[in-house]
Amino acid sequence: MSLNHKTFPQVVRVQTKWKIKAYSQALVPLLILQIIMAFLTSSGSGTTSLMINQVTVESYFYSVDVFLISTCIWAVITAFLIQTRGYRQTDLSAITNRATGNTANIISLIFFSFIAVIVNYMSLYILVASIQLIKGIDIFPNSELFNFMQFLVAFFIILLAASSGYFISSLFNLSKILGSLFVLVGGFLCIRVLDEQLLTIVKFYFEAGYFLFLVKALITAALLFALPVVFLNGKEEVRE
Amino acid sequence: MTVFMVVLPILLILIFFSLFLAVSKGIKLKKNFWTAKRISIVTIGYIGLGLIAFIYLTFTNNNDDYKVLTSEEIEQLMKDEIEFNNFFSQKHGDKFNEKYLVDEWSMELSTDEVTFERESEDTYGRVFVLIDWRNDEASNEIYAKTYQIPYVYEGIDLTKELTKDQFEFTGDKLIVKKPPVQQFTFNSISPKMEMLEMNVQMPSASDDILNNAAVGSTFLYLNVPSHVTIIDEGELRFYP
Repeated sequence: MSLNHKTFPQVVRVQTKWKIKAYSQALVPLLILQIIMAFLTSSGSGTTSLMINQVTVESYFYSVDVFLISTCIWAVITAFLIQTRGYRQTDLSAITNRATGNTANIISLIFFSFIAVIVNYMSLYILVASIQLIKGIDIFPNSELFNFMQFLVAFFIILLAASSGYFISSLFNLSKILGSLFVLVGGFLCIRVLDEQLLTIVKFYFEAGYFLFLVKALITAALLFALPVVFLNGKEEVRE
Repeated sequence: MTVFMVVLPILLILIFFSLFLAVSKGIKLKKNFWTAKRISIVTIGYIGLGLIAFIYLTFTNNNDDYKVLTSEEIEQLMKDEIEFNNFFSQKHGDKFNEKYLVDEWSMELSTDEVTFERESEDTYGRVFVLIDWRNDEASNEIYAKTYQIPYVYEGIDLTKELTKDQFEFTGDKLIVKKPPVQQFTFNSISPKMEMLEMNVQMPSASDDILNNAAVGSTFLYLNVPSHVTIIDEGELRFYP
């Protein structure tokens, strides 16, 4: 019998705190990436135009699209790296097993995704405020400056990206051949049928409205996060 | 655009990897510069800056030149336009909502005839003329009331730009004038994923109302002495 008996939640809590601190470096590239994206979209994220007979109305809009796409790529890579050998071995610095390690990873990724979506919105506000101040042009808000539902949607999009990265990384962890095969087939399908299939996937998630998207995204992310916990649970880690 | 959409993620991945390598291995100002404490300070600072930008945008977007309508106001506008059309089809000009009355004027005819013309088929959107006859043998004066449903594009009220000098009365002729060639450019902030809004058909939501252009209609309600003959060359009367 040990004097230092630790329950599963206690171990996870300690590991999560430790991992959030240890992986906080991932936020630096995110911030730099957001600043680069802000420069790239300084003339607008997109444009729409309307013609009413002789009158043309052009509208340039600043949206979170580019910030969110770049954040999704960041989330995929961060989640992928968190499962690589180097990071996994640092788990051994604390009391751990596969289940606690994976659970702590998932909680850390959810935390980083939440920070990332806040950073996303802040980047948009900073960009627009800077343009208004520097260029002196008026920028209209064509809807509320902050919409909680849109914020949640953006958060779940990032979470989906993070869970995908985590799942792929776990496949590599399980078997390099399996992981490579999954990436190759997935990549081939995406390139081969990029326009139609990708839009079909997007439609599947969004066609029924934002609320149902949140439900679908939650189920998908939960599955993608849970599967690695299940199939990596019995895998041993050897400290080198 | 498609090429851009394909190249952008690749570019982002390259940028991200370079950043990651630079931050984690290569460029270090001194050993362990990016400590957890410093990263949290930078991140909180960035979020704080974003909040300041948000507050700035909240208080500086009260534009004097153009009114920006809320989704509720636009929804009401669309309901009122339907109501106008109903009264118009029932020939109940006296029930038109006085909220949209923009001009009240009169035309003194030199003969018992008045001609309706339009300079071009390309008039500003839609102009509807409704006649209300009155028994007044002694007068050749037509009383006119102009009702204007606002033109709204992405929440911006463009009515005053699109309805300048719509009508001209000269030589017993009422002319709907050809609008001059004009171009307007607007910048707007849209804190949501515009790509999703454009590509996926969402179920009706208040945000959808903002995305649609509410194309205003002009209703000209004329009170004409019954002995006056109307020659409608411009085919402005839907219900002669």
